[in-house]
Amino acid sequence: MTTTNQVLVVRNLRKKYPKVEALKGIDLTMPQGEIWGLLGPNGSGKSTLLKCIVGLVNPDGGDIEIFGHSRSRHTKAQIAFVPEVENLYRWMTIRQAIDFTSTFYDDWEEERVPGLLAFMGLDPSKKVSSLSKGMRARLKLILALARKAPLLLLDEPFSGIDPASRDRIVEGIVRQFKSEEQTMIISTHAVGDTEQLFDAVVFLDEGTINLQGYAEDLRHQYGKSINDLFKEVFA
Amino acid sequence: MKIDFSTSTPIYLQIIEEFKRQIVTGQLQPGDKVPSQRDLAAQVKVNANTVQRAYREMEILGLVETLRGQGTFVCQNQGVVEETRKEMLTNLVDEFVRAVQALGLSEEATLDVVKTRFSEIDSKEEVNNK
Amino acid sequence: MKRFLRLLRKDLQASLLPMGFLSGITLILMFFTRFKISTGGWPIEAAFASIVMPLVFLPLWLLWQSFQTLRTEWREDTVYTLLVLPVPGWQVMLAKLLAIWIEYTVLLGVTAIGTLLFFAPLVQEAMEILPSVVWALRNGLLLYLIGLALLASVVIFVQLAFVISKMVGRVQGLVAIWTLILSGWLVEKLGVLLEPLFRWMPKLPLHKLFRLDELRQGIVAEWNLAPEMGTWLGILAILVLTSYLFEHYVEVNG
Repeated sequence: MTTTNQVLVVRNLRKKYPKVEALKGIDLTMPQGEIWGLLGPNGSGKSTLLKCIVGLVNPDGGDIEIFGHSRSRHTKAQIAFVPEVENLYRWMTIRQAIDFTSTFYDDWEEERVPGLLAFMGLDPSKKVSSLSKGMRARLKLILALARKAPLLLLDEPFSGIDPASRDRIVEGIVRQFKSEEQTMIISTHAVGDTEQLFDAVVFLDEGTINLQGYAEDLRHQYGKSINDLFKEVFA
Repeated sequence: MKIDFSTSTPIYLQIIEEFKRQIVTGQLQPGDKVPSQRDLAAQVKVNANTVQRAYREMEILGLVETLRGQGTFVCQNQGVVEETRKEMLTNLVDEFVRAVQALGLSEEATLDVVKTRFSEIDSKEEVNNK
Repeated sequence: MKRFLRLLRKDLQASLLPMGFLSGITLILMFFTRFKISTGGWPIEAAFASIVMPLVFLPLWLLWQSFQTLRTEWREDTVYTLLVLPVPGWQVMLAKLLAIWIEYTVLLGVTAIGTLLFFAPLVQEAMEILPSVVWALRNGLLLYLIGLALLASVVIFVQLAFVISKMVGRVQGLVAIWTLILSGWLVEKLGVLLEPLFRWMPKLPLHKLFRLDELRQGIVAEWNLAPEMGTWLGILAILVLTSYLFEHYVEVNG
């Protein structure tokens, strides 16, 4: 890979909160077209790293380059971020949430919305506040997937939701992800049956990367699943 | 297509193994169209790059061929099927032989048992199927 | 523009419930007062109380609302949506300001309609004292515009205080209050400091603007704008600063 198609370059990224040092010098270089798993237990810094990239949190040191540019309004337009928290306006209907989001992004593909809603089993007239956690997670994913965003960041998209929703989300990602023009980072603390989503994985532990590599290589090298490897590393 | 993955070995190799198995057993016939990479990825919920890698390897092995704009098909060449069958058998037998050797058993004794078991299992299955 | 309008619409829709509630309360209060007066239970002066009460309560509620509209974004985690939008910070801040202006206008309108609806005879009496209907409407409009300007300045201070408080990890309430006090003091000082620069400005003849001579001959009221100019520039600078901080420095709660 040449440097021109590096989607994301992170150098020596550091972030300190009043009580905890969340990131202690992270280095990452991510080529286009891959799905990376950002794996680590709760509090390992996964969420902070993603928030730093999209601009919800400001690092104390180090560099972030997104398609060769430092963070700005312009890079925000290139990123689809799905946070772990419930970030949708509860009083909106699903339709309103979709219309709201679509206004702000030039890469929105409205023609794909009906298909995505049907696939996720969502009724657009329903209110966000009336949805279960799993259904809200599906909606959040639709809002990211209906865009042709070059960089997608999914923070804990599988945590705390029902198995059916989890299944839909995994399949939705596999179906909609376009490796020719997109790149994705998915953070999770429970690898489980989602490991076949990842091209590469990064193990994050207390703000430091302690293992990183292509999933198939790691399986070959250790003769173990990523899930087993994860359990071993964080035992 | 359904694959039960053991994620402790590379997934693309398991996809290839599954195709080989289906070709050898005749579930996939020469010339049959196989799922597109995206469809297979969605069916088995595996990263599309992994499926792409499996398809690329299978093309190199001559198991499938991709026709521009038409899709991917099982290779027409019967020789490839034969070869795959032979290879799978060899692999199975190798595994078996190693296990037998590790137990310190002799070839003659083993082959006798193999023959007996072949007929026994066959007739048992026939009974079971009735 | 469509992005700004979408933000504005969102802020308006978000306050639909309290707005409806307040409008309803105002009208019910007026209706009840009218009923009590007509049955002889209450004196006619009660009508003034029921008209003035919403008008007194209005600025307080709008002040609370200008704080609440930002606080809710953080409390309900919708700030995660707001902060990742590729829009300049001033659009977010101005949309919130404009929403409050609109709420102010609507609630004033509801009070006016209620007054006309339930206390028409009183309005008629008042009109006999005032020079003309045109005069009343014109001055009402001027007072409304001044109200908009004052409201804007207050909202802008509150926005700064809130955004600054979200930039510190702890004692956010204390930081907000001190930001409010300090920024108010600074802007006040700025007015005094820049006053010499604006001495050339003529005094604003309020008596002409409000046509006070139609009410009574010989009233003179002038407004010296020179010390105000620096203050207004300062307030504008605060809006710019808040927008910049919101877009570049503010964080979601860790």
